[in-house]
Amino acid sequence: MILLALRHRLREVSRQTSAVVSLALLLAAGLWTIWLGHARVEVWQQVVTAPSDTPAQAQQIMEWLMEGKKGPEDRPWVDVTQVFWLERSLPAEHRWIPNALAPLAASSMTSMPVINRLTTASQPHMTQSFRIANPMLDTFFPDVTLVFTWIVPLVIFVLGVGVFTLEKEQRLDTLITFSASPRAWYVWSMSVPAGLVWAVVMLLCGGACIAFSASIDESLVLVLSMSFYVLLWTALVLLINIMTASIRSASLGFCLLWITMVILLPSALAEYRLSLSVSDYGMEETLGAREHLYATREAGVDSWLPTLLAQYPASKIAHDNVRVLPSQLPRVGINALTFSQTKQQHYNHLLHHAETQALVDGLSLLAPNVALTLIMERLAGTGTEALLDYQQRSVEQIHARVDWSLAKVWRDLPLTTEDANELLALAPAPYQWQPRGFTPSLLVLMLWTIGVWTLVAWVLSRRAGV
Amino acid sequence: MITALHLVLLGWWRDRRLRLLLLSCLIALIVAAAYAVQTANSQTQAFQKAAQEARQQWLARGDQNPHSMAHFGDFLFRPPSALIALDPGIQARLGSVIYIEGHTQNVPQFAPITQNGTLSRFPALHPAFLLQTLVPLLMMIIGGTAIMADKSEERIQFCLALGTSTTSWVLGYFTAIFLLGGVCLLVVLLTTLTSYAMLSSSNTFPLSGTLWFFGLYCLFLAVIAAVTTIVAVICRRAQKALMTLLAIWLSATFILPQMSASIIAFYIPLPDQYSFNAQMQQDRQAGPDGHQPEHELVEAKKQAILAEYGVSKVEDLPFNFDGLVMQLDETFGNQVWDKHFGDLSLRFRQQVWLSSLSALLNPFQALHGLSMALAGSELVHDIAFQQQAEIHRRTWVEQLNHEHAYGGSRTGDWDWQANAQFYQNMKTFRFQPPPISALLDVYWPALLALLGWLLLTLWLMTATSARLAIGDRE
Repeated sequence: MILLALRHRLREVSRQTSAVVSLALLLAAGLWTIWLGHARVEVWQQVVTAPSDTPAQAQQIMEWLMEGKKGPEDRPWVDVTQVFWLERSLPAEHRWIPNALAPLAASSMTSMPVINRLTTASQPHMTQSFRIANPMLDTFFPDVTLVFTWIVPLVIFVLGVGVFTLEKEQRLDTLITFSASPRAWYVWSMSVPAGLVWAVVMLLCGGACIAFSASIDESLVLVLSMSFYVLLWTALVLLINIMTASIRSASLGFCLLWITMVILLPSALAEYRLSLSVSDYGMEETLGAREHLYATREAGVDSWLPTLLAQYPASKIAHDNVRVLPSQLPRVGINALTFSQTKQQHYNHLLHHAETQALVDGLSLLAPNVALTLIMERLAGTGTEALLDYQQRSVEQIHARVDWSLAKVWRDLPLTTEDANELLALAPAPYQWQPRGFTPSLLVLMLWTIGVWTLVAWVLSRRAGV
Repeated sequence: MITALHLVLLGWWRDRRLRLLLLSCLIALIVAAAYAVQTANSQTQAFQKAAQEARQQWLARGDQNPHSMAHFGDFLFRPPSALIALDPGIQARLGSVIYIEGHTQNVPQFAPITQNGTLSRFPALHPAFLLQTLVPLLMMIIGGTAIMADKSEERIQFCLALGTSTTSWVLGYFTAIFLLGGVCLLVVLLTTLTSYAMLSSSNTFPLSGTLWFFGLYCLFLAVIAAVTTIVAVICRRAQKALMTLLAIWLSATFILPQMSASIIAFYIPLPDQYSFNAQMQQDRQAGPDGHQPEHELVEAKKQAILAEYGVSKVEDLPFNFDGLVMQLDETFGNQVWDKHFGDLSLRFRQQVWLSSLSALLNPFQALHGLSMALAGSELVHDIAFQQQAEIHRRTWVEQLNHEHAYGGSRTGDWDWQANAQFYQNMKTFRFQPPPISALLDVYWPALLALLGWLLLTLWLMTATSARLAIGDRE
């Protein structure tokens, strides 16, 4: 029976030119998007591995300090023995190294800074992306995630649209109903298109994992999630085929389902989220920060010193031990207070993102393609989650520099090469996103798959009995 | 033709599933259109509120040193266009605010899409998206399957035997499919107009723009109706017709735009941000810095001024030489910006033009560009905004530097303050959308392509109408 079903379906599929062309197109689209993604990541790689002028700058400053000079001759106001100028002249570069599977979700790289030059005045959340993009072309940038989430269901449908309906048209359904295991016929019959699509998808996944040297864990997550996704759409196509009487009805039903799950639901939520984010142009916090900065600058030290001491407890101890305020305190203190605002802005962004993420997680329960997209983005490390994590690390590094600056200001001594070395030692290691957070999305995919297959089994048992 | 049209429409109306599908689509369109107007309305309000707040902050500074105000900076806003509810285009990817300041040129900020996380991958559900992607799919599926059903049930052969011509049947199908799309378009426009009247505080909706929008989409829907009819007439099997239509839809909405975008990006590459900034910085460092009086250009200017006024040091000049140094810095910075940004915006324009040219292959892309241009939500408008903002910035900085130099202070007097009245009288920025001729410069291939596609498909439709008599033989 199983062999009969397989042979029958294989013959049907091989006869359909559209089926063969669809499989070839899926393979071509997958390979093309992998190549496009790789090209984009290569630019990223080039940017982060490009030689930096920071070591030469550091060398120059060391020489000035050793020779007792204060800075460049054409800028007499620069004095690297002072905290403010040394800290500004020795920025640390925080580089973001792409993950192995970054090419898989390359279109998520809409706004990605990959090098943050850190000083106490840096604003990591305002840094420009590494790419200059034409948004009119960028809107259409395809990646593997798009091919997997959009095209794979369509190809499963093209290959599997005849199962059940074709049997009806060929009057085979009566024979199957009276056979020993009618349910097995349909399930095995559907396994041919599903198996073919799965094989192509696995070829693409395996090829990408090997070519980009992905870890075993990453490869396993990719293979598992894609297998669930293929299984899920196989079940959905089978269900539509069983519940409709003709190819025309099956096509209508599938289109309606595909449009709703793949396009309408995520798009409706994207529109909703966009309508929320246009509420104030992000201006309130920007204008507030500027107002705060100028008010602090124009006010005397006495007005902002209590706030500074409250925000930086180490400064409170140092302050209690000095009789006269250090002369460099105003500049460095204002920087420290401005940084507190930057930190607050970053936390606001984190909160905003957490709200969006809660919406997306909720949506992934309704639309499995969103769950798959989340998995792919987390594997690739190109989504907003990775970006905010990178910015968070940069903010932590700036915090360390602010603490260093304040400690040196309270000491109130001219800086030496030792201090410069101390500052250089604060330079952060390159950042790389650690792929994580797959379990909820994988669970969603698994539950959907089990749920739809259970429904298929139930519907088949009712139909087979008729 | 009327009989055929009547029969087709009646057949659709009697099909409960089709009624349900159409109804769902119309509901989606109404919701999307109403929601888009609401979003556009809140965008306008947000723009007004933000612009007002920024202006208040500027005025609240009171008496200030002009150079200090140049560092304080100002925000320039691009108001959303009135037709943005119909097609927000790529507006969400573009920032609508530019921060202007002395010494530095900035690019637009606060693009809403940067706050959307994973959702930024998905297209937003606005009327243009539905009319450009889902309505054509609906027309293809409903229209294609209807013709195939009539063919397979040999209804057409029966009617042909009664004396009606194949051309009139084909025209009947075409009109019915076109009407299906036309109803969706009308629903969108009526919902938009009604929602606008109910929600917006402004009384003037750009009716001429809406009519252009209507005309443009009618052309496009006619092309879709013709393509659907041709495919359904030519194909012998329902499955083949459906697959062909689905393949056309997928290629036109997804594959071709992405292929052409990739090819254009490959052919006209853009630099990465860091090397672009580094080159600009390198060129900029060759010139004077307003805060570095030792530069040779500044020295030459100083000597010329000292000789002209017959004094030995700048402190003896009857005006503030620092203001002139700042303007020297600006003029040099502007030249560097013009060189680099000019090259970049030229590349952008070339990319958009090529993208418009690729519409010759794909009517979907032709409509995509034209619709955004009409709604003012594409790149040409963005480049115009950046250029106008830069022109405004230059005048703004020049005014501040002039006040710094000739407002009453002497060289080295950084504590001198211009009065608040001076800052109040400075001109505010108003964005002027590019004229239609500027848009036509870029989008004429798309407009021609759409007309060409319509003529071609109508001709093909009549040329292949005879094949309608050949029923489903399998």
